[in-house]
Amino acid sequence: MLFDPQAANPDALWTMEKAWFEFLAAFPPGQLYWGQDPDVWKHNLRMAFAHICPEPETAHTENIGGGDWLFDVVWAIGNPQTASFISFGMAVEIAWPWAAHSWAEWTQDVVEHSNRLHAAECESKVLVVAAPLFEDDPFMRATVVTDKCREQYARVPYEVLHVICHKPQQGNRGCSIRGIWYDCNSISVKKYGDRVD
Amino acid sequence: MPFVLRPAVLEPHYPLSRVWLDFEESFRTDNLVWGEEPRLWKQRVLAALARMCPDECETHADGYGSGPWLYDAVWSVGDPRTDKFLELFGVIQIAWPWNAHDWDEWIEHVQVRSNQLHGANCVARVMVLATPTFEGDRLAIFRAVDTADRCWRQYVTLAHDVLYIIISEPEEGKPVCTLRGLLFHIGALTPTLFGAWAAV
Repeated sequence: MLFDPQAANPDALWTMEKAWFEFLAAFPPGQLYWGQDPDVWKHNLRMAFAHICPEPETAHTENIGGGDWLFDVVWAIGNPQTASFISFGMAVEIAWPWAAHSWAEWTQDVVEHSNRLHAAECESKVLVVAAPLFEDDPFMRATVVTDKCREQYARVPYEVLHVICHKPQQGNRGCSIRGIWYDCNSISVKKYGDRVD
Repeated sequence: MPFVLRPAVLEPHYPLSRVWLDFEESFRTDNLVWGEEPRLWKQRVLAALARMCPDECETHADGYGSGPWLYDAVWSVGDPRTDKFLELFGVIQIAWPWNAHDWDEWIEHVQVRSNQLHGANCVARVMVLATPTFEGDRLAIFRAVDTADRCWRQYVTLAHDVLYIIISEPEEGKPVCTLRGLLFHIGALTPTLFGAWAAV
């Protein structure tokens, strides 16, 4: 199936595909380190999504409320802290299960973040997960988990982008990054290639 | 590779007017007393709303299910902390701004809670408001109604009804809170009013 993001959602102020490529551009190769302090790592991700926010049509929570507002980052039309709020444009949840010692623990944490994201009333959602190296192929394992996350919901009137950052192989420092975009408008899935830093 | 869209588990035919009637009924004999300790007060309100949870759903709030989750209480199909979660059916927010010192602070708090409620992907939304009586202010109920009304009208993309339950100070000499309901319908210009409006 040919995939045309504009045709899928012609009224959107942005597209998930644009968000994906701008997210990648926000982290030049080697800039998203594996093993970085969790708070710094999460902060950098939040700033990336704030940076690519399509202002002035929408505002992001980093500059209209000081960060968290139910979700890790939201793009909003109006300010969610005031009477000017109209609706969300996009919600981002970041799952970085540092304390997980097994895939079962990791999965539990990712599922809860995914469920939170599902509770956001907006048409575009992003779930960022960091996949540890409990097995030889963390990306494949993480993809199976995030696929199940998306499938479990009864109602999905939105598009969701899963960004999977996984531990680099053999001595590389930067995370490898992949993306999967599920679009309920065209009922299709688009997978983006692995960027190995 | 196409994926499959699944049908909704619950049809959106759960009238919020029924929630109001059940809520009022639950405090008809078991009175809600003004000035009650905040934690206990909140628990009693949540307990009443938990009893109204649709059969297909489970309540998650303080003391019910697995505790609060994003909002003060949710009615969900499946536990939202696990892979059993299928969808959020109802969200309940309680605005009880104990620390507000004037109406401006109170309205600001209610506004944020209402925005959070609007940000939920669900079918039923219920907002419980407690109106203080700042010294000398006899128009508390009007301010609460006006605030709820403005909150409702600011959301241009809202696709579902919202019930505001307003709990206000009792009439002079009576210990029991006054309960009122405002049900905003999609497409309606004015809300449906429940409770002792004639007395205002």
